[in-house]
Amino acid sequence: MKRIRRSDRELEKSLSPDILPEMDEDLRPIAEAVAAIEDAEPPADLVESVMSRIRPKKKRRVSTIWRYVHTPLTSFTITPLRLASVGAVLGLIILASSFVLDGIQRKQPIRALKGTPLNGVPVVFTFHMPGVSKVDVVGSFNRWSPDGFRMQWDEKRGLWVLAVQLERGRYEYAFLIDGGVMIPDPKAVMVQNDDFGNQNSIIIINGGISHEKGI
Amino acid sequence: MENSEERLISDILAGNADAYGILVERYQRPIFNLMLRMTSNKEDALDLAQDTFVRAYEKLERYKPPARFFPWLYTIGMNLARDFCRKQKCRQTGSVKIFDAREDSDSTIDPGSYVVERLDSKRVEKALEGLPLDYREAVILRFHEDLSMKEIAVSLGISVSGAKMRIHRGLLRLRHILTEGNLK
Repeated sequence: MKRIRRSDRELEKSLSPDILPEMDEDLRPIAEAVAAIEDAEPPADLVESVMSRIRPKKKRRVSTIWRYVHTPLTSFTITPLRLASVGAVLGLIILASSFVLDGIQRKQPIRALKGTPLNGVPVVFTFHMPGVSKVDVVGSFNRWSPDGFRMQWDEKRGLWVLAVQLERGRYEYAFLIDGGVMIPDPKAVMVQNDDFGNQNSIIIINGGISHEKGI
Repeated sequence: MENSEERLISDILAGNADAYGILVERYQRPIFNLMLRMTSNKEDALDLAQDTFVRAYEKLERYKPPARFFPWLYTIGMNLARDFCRKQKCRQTGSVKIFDAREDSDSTIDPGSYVVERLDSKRVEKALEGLPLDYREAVILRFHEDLSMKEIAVSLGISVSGAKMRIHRGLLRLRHILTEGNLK
């Protein structure tokens, strides 16, 4: 990939006398050529290889709840007691988030997915990943295409947010970071392995309340 | 960008290992190319680039914001590459063979205008191979990676004045190689 040539002003700064005294004018084309050197393309599996060799760092000052919501479940058994506990937790989450979601709803127009009936269920995706330039939601509901599913950065809450309407059903999804790295939703209650050694998050939309955040 | 990077690293330190993929994605190109310049071998370059990112991850607690992450990462990469080259046979730098660069050009062109008019990145890239390691990396960090003098000093483990000196002398040597025909 060819580097973008630096502007004259930037190069002027690089070559300013206080940085490089007695700079000859004919050094400028050499500096420009160095700036425009073509980089070799790194192997496609470099990122994946590195990520396979690292493990999450030991968390500091994390609460049990935080740990619980950030640990994806690979399998679970439903018992009446667990069902009641999950129901109670979900009830609390829905109650607590209703104030926040009101705010999001005012700021974020809900867009209907192509082909989705107008009575689709409103869903808000949220994702905590500061320091990246863009996040898209991809999943089986949009055939894993990021077009039109760009999340918006909510500066106040420090979250990426996207409000859409989806039909009732069960979907797999993940977050696409900067158009390159795909990460499952760390807050998803359910995950599922795909055929490529990765995990996708599961969202079940039923009657207006999904495990994600139905409005 | 720096502030965002700081937050990203804080997230990684809090246990979000996936977030490290963003940093690897962002800096894999300059680190892989550094290793390629050092080893001239794609397999070795890939191994060293991976080792650099893994080592940086292991030592991430020692990274001190608000300094930029890249110079710190580059220092780790340089140290790994130097260790590797001490043990293995790496390409020698600074041993430019003499030949007449104007052999394949119009002999009526004087050396000065030859550089200005015919200079292209491929020739400069080749000429860079003839520079001593620290000169070459200082010039690349300054003009190709756009680092400040202070960041170059940190990356190469030298003083700021040392960085300025290496860049200046590196450019002068490049000019000498390109104009005097000392290009292999």
